[in-house]
This record gives sequence, structure tokens and C-alpha cells, in this order.
Amino acid sequence: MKKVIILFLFCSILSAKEFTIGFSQASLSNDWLKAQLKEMKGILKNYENLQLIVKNADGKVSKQVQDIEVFTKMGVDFIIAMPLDTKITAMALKKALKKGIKIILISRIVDGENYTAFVGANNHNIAQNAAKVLVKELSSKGTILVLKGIPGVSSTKQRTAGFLDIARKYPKIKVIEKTANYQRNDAMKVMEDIYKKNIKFDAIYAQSDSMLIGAREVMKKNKSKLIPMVSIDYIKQTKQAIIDGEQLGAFVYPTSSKEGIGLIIDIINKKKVPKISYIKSKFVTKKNVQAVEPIF
Amino acid sequence: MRFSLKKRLFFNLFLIITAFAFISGIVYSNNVRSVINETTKKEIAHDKVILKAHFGEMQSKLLNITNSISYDNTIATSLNLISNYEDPLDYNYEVFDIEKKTLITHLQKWLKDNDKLAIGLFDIKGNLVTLYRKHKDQVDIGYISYDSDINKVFKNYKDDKVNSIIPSNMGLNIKNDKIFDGYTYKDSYYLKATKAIYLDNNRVGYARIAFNINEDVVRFLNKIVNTKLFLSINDKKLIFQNDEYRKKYYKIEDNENFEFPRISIFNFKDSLDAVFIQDKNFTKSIVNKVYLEMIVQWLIGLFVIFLLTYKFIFKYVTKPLEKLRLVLQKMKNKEFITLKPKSKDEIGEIFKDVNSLSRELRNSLSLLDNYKDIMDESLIVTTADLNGTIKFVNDNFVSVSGYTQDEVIGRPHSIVRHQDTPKETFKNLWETIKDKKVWKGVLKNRKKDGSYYWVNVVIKPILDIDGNVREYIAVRHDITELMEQKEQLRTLLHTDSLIGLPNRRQLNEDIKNMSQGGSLAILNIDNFRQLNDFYGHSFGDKLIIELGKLISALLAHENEEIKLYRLDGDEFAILSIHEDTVLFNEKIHNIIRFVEYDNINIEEETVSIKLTAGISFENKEYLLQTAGMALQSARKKHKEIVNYDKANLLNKEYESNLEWTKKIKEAIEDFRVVPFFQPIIQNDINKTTKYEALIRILDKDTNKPVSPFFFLEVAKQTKYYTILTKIMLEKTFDEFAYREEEFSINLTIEDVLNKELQGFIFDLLNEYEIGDRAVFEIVESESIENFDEVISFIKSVKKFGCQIAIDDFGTGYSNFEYLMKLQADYIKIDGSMIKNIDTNENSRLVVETIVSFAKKMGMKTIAEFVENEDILKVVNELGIEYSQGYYFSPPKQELD
Repeated sequence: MKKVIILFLFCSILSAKEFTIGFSQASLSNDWLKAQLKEMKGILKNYENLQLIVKNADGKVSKQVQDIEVFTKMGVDFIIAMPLDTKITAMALKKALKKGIKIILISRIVDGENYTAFVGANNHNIAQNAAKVLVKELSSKGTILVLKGIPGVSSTKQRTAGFLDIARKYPKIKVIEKTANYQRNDAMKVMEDIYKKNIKFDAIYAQSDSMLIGAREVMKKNKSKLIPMVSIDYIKQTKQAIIDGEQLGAFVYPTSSKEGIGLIIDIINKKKVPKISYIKSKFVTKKNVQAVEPIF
Repeated sequence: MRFSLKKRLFFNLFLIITAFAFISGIVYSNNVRSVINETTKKEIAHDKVILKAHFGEMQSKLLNITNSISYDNTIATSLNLISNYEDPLDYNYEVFDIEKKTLITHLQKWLKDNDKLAIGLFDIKGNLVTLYRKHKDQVDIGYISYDSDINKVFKNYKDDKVNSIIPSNMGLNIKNDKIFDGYTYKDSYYLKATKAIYLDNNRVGYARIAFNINEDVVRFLNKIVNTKLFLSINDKKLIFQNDEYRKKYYKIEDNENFEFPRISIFNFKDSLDAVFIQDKNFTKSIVNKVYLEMIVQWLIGLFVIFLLTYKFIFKYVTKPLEKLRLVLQKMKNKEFITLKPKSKDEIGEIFKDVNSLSRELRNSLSLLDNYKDIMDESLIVTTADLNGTIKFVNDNFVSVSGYTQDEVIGRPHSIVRHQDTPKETFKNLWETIKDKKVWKGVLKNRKKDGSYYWVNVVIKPILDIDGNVREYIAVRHDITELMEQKEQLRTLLHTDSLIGLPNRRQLNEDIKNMSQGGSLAILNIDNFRQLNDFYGHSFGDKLIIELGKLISALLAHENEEIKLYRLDGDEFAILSIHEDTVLFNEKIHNIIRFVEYDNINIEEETVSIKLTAGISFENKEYLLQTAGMALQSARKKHKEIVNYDKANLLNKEYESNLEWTKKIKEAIEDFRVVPFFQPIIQNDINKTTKYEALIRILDKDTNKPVSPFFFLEVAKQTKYYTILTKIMLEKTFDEFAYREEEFSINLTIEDVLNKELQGFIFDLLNEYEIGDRAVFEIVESESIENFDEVISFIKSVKKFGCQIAIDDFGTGYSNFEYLMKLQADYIKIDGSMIKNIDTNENSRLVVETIVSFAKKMGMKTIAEFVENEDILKVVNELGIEYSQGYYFSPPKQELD
């Protein structure tokens, strides 16, 4: 690892100015996260002076903390982080920040001020819209099953909080929350449990495409009738489901890779960057499905 | 108690095996004891090595685990998070509880193989983060968390149940901890290893891994060590395999039979020792076990050896010996069983020996029985003990003596004595047999009815194996008949058959028996021949009878000191044991006078007879001869009485002797000594089967044979006698060397006793090898002093097949005893008895007795002087086997 660093340093002297970016990826356990990294790498091909070091935290805060500490020790110029925990990751980022490393948070934000800039979709906003769509579909009356992501992470928190902000305004809307860790398999387990317990629901709000795909398989198996279902991400399979009419619609959740790198370029070019910037999220339905490209 | 062979053998075997087992037991147990002591020492030493190795391994394993944990990135990452990012005031359950649980899960990879491990993870300050510890029922698996009041709590790994009691932190002391240490938790000892955990060179926490050394370990250790042990913590807490062992230990703790050597295993602040339980009794118990095994082996050995030996002894020794004993017992009762030797061993050999012994014994017994039968059949057999008490009598004794067995057995032997037998005889008998010698003799025994019987007895002392007299056996041959015949014969021989007066033979005997000198007168009748011729023989005999009566009457008043004899024909003899010449002459004179004047009436004839007498007072040797000479002299001189005059008569004889001596010498020198042979006819076949050689000297001038009557007596007194005998022997042997007939040669007792002549005879017998045809005629002699030597000679020549004849039997000194002793084959009856056997009844009687006796004795008889057919006829009538005489042939010089 040290050799690589030395190589980069060496290269940076030779060329104009070399910058090292450490990317602390929360996990690579789902396609969205993989797509995020892929996208980032694709963009960085255009910037020869930007070297990317990727560390995968495997969904563990401790690993992310260590990764960030390592980046800090290495003395990278930038840390792009997908924080796993709003507080603990922030504590690690704080140390890096103190060392003068610029911290770019993409897609997920941490508590406090211990970062240079944040760019990402507004989960809270998406969740509110998802609730509005489903309430409208259910005519403000019915039970909505919420398939939740990894507990504790900001995306889950926000995607839950935003949804509940709206849903609670309708007394006849009931919400069942089930955690499926953004995982398709976990969602299948949850659904089987629900069928087993004969829990009735009238619509599904899945905090990721993967979870809804899994849920839908179980439902198909149980020959459930078509109900309104929305999810967040918009991947190829979801696009197809929308085309096929199996799914009401999906909120595109952008990876923010392009925007994150854009912030770094701005910082290198000494442009002032906003502390927090949101990327607008499209709602894809049968109407516009052909026009919108899935994120992967 | 009497031991049989088997018992004795078993007893010996028992002793040997027991002694062997005992000695080997002692030796073995001593060896075992020292080996065990040595082994125990070695075992403990070995156990120490094992323990060191075991705990060394444990330590190194612990170190390995500790290292492995401390270098584990996941753990380091987690501890990094917990040490640096955990804030009790803002405790993120979702992150930290899950992180800690994940940590515990992660630890499973070390724990799954070692459930005795206790693992504690600590943060950088040394505070417990997670704990994995199972201690018996106390299971502490969980992590530190906080309750809503921010109090530290311990959450169970399994169910997240909150426990407000925080487990001890495994004694962690960050500042002082060494890598290895030991600590006590409850009743266990923990070997612990502590190591700081670094993440990228930054210390992020600590791991403490402890190995629980509890009763399981003790149990395991006891499986791999030789000597039972337990563990001791700080000399206080003791770890046993289980409670049972614990209880046992407290029971034996103060028992001096136990020792508790210990070795230090860990010498940390809390020390751990291994304590061996060394049972001194163990040695004792092993030794006892050895003894027990010995006893068992001894019993088995005893049993097996007894069984085998019994089988062996029974088969090869006892059974054959039993059989042998039975056979020997039966043998005692004269039952004979043949043993079958089954084996080729000593017993088999003994069987063979016993068989051959049995055969020999049977043969001997059979022989003995035969002998006994023969003896019982023919002889009178008795036995007596040392005192002469009768022990046994055979049937012959019973039938002869008239006593029953019961009457005599147990009685003294003297009851058969006859009073006629002199006491000296018995004295001599007892002295002989007590001297362990055989006594032989003739005895007169008494029958029950007081009568007697004669026996020829041999008494032999029977000696036991030590040479002591055990008993006496007397074997008798009943010779009563023989003795009676002898007596009869004697009487006949000594009595004149015509008038019943003692005859010449009696006279000879009486003279011989005289102790002192005596007086003898021989009288004859003058002109008796004329009287005979005139009146006839019958008249003559009557005359002799009357004369005998007369003289007897005349001597009747005399005592027994004077005795009358009738000699031949008209001759009478009067013998007095007194020597008074005058008195005797007067008595004879008176008798002559009285006879002369007292006419004798016979057949109405009155005859006056005149007697002439010759008297001698010479020594008894010459008494009869000189009296005869005196009578001849008186008759020649026609004197009534002539007393023998020594000077006058001996001179003439001397002259005659000298003359004949000269003649003999010349005859020898001129080879004129020749044998003449007279044939002896075997009567039943009337054929010559023998010749008697008779000596002759051929006259110098006429070459005619001269009768030995003239020269033999003279020759006997000279050295020429032996030469004559030799010439006779040599010429006779030469003559008969190639003939078939037997031949007899006369030998006197003097010849027989002559050693030189004996040698000469043996040489001839060896040279000519015709001993089986030779007969030696032994002429009677006055007395035989060296009887044994004579018998020895006879035995010697009998070995050559020679036979013995007694010559002139009946005339002289020969008696039946003599015959028996000499083992004679032939008796030559004296010619004087044969020549008138046809006319003289007395002679015939005598001869008849002799023949009967001879037949009984298995001897053959030869009659001499068979001069005519009449004689031969009587001879044949009497059953005499052989005849010799002029009737057949006179002696001839040449043989046919």
C-alpha cells in the first residue's frame, strides 16, 4: 500500500499536480452500491491526476472507521465517504478533517459539521413523495407494508421518517414496518413470515428495488393480487416491472458519484462549494418509463 | 503312618514345588518391590515430564491462540471502534451492541475447539468489552453495554438479556500484566495470556485468553500419567478429578501410607502445583498380588504336576509295581503269572527279570518238588530245630515209625533213639552237625511199638543266609532189611552149619578182637579120612557133631574166657584169652584124654577117637597160623600136642622167602611175569563177556606157570610187588586194547593207596582209552585206614568208565558197609563157598543172602570156582549173573 502511495506521490510531482482520493464505500453488497463505484471509476478516467483508493467497509462501522483512519494516516487529499453511521463515522471523519483532508459525503450525510460538502438525493423528500403516491393510490385508506433498509443508516432513517411524515396525516392509512436490510433475500424472508402470519396489506413501499423484487417473488408464489407498489433506486429489473405493469412506479435514486467528483474538481479548482446540495429524484411510472435510463 | 511310593512322591513333589514357589515368591516379590519402587520413582519422573510437556503445550497453544487473536484484523478493527468511538453518554446500541456481538461470534473460530478457553477482550483503557467464559454452571458470555441510565450492564450474547452484575475482568491489570499469568477464579485455576491488540501500530485494546484448568483437566491428566494426581492452587485450593476423589483425598490425607510429592506447574502470583498421590500401599498391594499369583501358580503347578505325575506314576510306576507286587505275592503262594512288559524302561526290564526269575523259581520249585517227591517216596525225612525238636516228618516216617505226625511234631528227636545205639554216636552226631557239617551214619531207631528199624542217615544243618544253623534235616534210608540180612549173614558166616559152633570166621574175628595175647589150640581127629571112608560121610558128620557136643560139654564148666570153634572138616579150635601155657596145655591135654577114653556112640557104633593138637601162644597176628603149623608139626611127629616153637618154624619160612624173592627178581628180568586170562561167562546168554587177568610166573626151567600162592605173599613184602602189578596192568591193557570183552585186574588196597601206581593207572587209562571195559577187582584186606583215599581213587577211575569188583567176598574182612563205601559194581563171591554150593546147604544159604543183598544194592554177582555143571545149575538158580571156573576154562596164557 505504501508503495502505491509513493508511486502516486511520485507521479504527481512529474505531472502537474496529483491528488489522492480515498473512497470509503459502506458496502458493495448491493447492485446500487456497485453501480455507484463503477460510475465513480468511470468519471475518474477523465482525470489523470486524480488517484482513487477504494476501501469497502462491508457494512461494518468499525471497518469504515478503520478505513477512514487509514486514509487519514495515509494523508489522502480527499475522502469520499458513504457513511455507515451518522455519528460514529463522523467521529472518524472529524479526525481526518482536522488533518486537513477534505471530506465529501455522497448520498448519505452524517450528524454534525464534520465534513466539507455533501451531495445526494433527498431521501426524506423521496419518502414523502412515495407516501403521497401510495396514499393517493389507496385513496387514503388501507395498510401499507414498509420494507426497511439497514437500521441506523441515514438513508433508512430518512426514507422511513419522510414516509411516516405523510402517512401519519391519514388516520385510515396503517403502516407495517419490516426491516429487510436492503437485501432481496431478507425481503423474501420477511414476506414469507407475513404470509405465514396472515398479515394483510394493501400496498408496499420498499426502500430499495432489491427488496421489492424479492417481495414480489413471494407474492407471486402466493398468487397475491396486484397491489400498488413503489420502490427507490430504479434499476433495470424495476424498469421492466413498470413496463410489465407489475409495479406502480419507482423513485430514481442517483448514485451521486458524478456529483461528488464534481465537488472535488471544484475544490481543486478552488471554487467555493455548497455545504449541502441535493440532486432531484424523478418518479418513473408507466408514462415515462421508456425515457428514463435505469441506474444500472 | 506308612507312606506308599505314590504318597511319598507326591509329598516330595509337594515339598519341592512349595519350596520352589516359596523361594521364587520371595525372590520375585523382592524384585517386584524394588522394581516397583524404582518404577514408581521413574513413573513420577516420567509423569513430571508428561506434565511439563502437557502444560508447556497448553502454554504454547494459549500463546498461539493469543497471538492469533491479537493479530486478527476484525478484532482489532472492532476494538478500535469500541475503544475510540464508543461514548457511554451517547451509546449507539445498534452499532456497538451489534459490533460486540459480532466480536463474540467472531471469537467462535477459536472457541469451537477449546471450550475451556475463556476469552476476554478489553478496550484501550482495560475495560472489559466482551467476555466468553464458561465456568461450570456459570456461563458468562456477553458484552458490556449501557442501560438507559447510562449504567454499565452485561448483556448476554445469546438473548441480549441485561445483567446488572458485571463479571470480573479476568484480573486484567494493564500496567503490570505479563504475557502469561495465572489466576484463580472460584475453584478453578486459569492460565491466562494477555496481549495488547494493535491496529496499524496503534494499540486499540487487549485480549486476555485463559485456559480453565479445572477438574476436567485433572481427569485428563490422570489418564495420561501413571501416578494419580490432583492439582493444588496456592497450596490451598485443590482441584480433583471429581468430588469422589476429593472425598477420598481427605480420607487419606493424614494416612502415613500415602505420600504427596508435588511439582510446580505454574509459579505465577497464583501458583499451580501437581500433587501426586503416591500410595505406599500400592507396592504392598502389588506384592500381595504377586503372592496371590504365586499361590495361584503354585496351586495350578501343584495340580498340573500332581495330575501329570499321578498319571505318569500311575501308568508307569504304581500300576506296574502293583502288578509286580501281586505277582510276587502270588509267587509266594507258588502261583506264577507271566508279566507282560509294556514299556522298555526299567520297570519293563524288571518285569522281564521277574519273569525269568519266576521261570527259574518255577523250575527250581518243580525240581525241588520232584526231589521232595522222590525223597518222600523213598526216604524218611524229618527236620528239627536247633534243640532237636521235631518240626516236620514225612509220610514215610509215619509209616515206618508208627507215630502220627501230631505225636512227634514238637517232641524231641530223641524219641526215635534206640537204646542199643551208643551215646557216643549221638554225641559225635551233635558235635558234627552243630559244627555245621554233614553227619552220615547208620543208626538203629526205635518205633512207637518199641521195635526198631535201621536207617542209613544223613543229617544236614540247614544254614540261613548268615551262615547260622536254622534247622536240621535228616534224610534216612530204611536199611532194616539189609541190616537184618547182614546180621543173618554174619551169623551164618560165623557159625558152623553142621554143629552150630562158631566157625573159622568167628575165630578170626575173636582173635582180632582180643585185647591181649591168648592161647589157641587147633585139634583134629586122627585118621578121620579112614573113619569117613569106612563109615561114610554121614557117619563122619555125625561123629563131628558128637565130638563137638562132647568138647562143648567138657568146656561147659569153663567161663566165657574159653571158646570152642569148628574149623574145616575134622578140625576144632579152642581159644582162651589167657596165656598161661601150662594151664592151657593141661586143659587141652585133659580134653584129648577124655575124648580118647570116652567112646562116642553113633548109629549104635561105639567109636574111640584120638585127637592131635597144635598150640600157639604167639601174638594174635600169628596165632591161628602158628597153631596150624604146630598142628602140622604134631601130626608129622605123631605127637599128641605140639606147642609152636618160634625159632624152629620161622627160620624155614625165612629161607623160603629169600628163595622166592630171588625167583621173582629173575622172572621180572627175564620177562617171565605174565598175565593168564580166565573167561567169565555171562550166565543168561552163556557167553564169555569178561576175562580176569591172573598173575603167573613162568618157571625158569620148565616154562610152566607157577601159582601166585607161592610168590605173591613174599612179593608183597618186597619192592617187586609194585613192579609185578605194573607188569600185569600194562600187559593186560595191551592185550585188551583191541578186544571187545571187559577185563578185570586184581588190585590190593595197598596197590590202590600207592600214589605211584595210581598215576601209572591213570596214564594207562588215558593212553588206551579203554577204561569203560576195565574192572578193578579189589581184594579184601584186613582193614582200610585211608578209606577216603580209596574212595577218591575209585571215583577217579569211575570217571574213566572203570568198574569196581570186590574180590573173594564172604571170606575175609569184607562186609556190606565196605561194599557200599566202595561203590562196587560187582561182588565176586568167594570160591570156597561156591565149590560146595551144590552139596552144602549152609554155603547155599550164605550165597543166596549175598545175591539178594547185591540185587538190592544194584550190584552184580560173579561166582568163582564153578567147577562142574551141578554148581553152575545152583549158581543159575540163585540168579548169579556171572560164572568163572574150570568148568568153563582154566586161566590161559593165550586168548582165543
